[in-house]
Amino acid sequence: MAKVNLQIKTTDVNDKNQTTTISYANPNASDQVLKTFAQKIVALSTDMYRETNKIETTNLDTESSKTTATITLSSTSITKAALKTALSSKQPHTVSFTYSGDGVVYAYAKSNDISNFTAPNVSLSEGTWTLNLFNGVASNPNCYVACEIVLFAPETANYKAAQATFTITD
Amino acid sequence: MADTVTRTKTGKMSVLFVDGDTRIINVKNPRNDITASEIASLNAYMQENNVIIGDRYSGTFGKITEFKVVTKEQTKLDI
Repeated sequence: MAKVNLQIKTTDVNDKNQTTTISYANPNASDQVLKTFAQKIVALSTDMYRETNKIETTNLDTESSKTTATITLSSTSITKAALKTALSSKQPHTVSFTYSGDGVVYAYAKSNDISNFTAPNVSLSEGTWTLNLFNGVASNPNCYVACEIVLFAPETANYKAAQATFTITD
Repeated sequence: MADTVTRTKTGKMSVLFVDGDTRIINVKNPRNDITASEIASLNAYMQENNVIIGDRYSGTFGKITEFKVVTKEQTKLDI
């Protein structure tokens, strides 16, 4: 994976040029997303935004031999209503997924309101997994929120990073 | 000449990645009136777009865990 640094150039209140570097930007993020992010960072300061440079570095010795890994989900979304119905019988809603790499898969929920799902940064065992959504907490209305659950496998010596998203929709 | 005292302020934004990696992003010359909702909005944008990744295992961005302003005072002695 290419390493991407953002070099953000600003001018401070004394009319001096300043440069801030943010390392390890997402190589897959669009230029517009990265530029907007840089502007949002500058908006927290008293500096004036001037420009953002995207600097990519690729190590040809370590990257060229890595294989693309994939995480495949048996389903990618469910509505809150369907989830509530499924859980009304106190049975967990399961989503199976497979991972083609040789690393560890983490599950992470993009909402603090669903800590009952599984703690962020939980690593799951190798092979084929079953993700239990809100098992045993069907009576808690706070669990029925729209959110995304990200399954993520970091890159390894042999495989590139992989990611898949399961969405609970309104 | 008298001693010279300079003060610099830096915003320290602590972020967490889903693989447990952490990082601090420095914001030069932070405003005095930064609000929690601004940080929450930035956090949402970073989550939505996974703008930065962890440097250990390229972990997905998790959340901003803290934002604080650090003031550093430096005295240059007139010798």
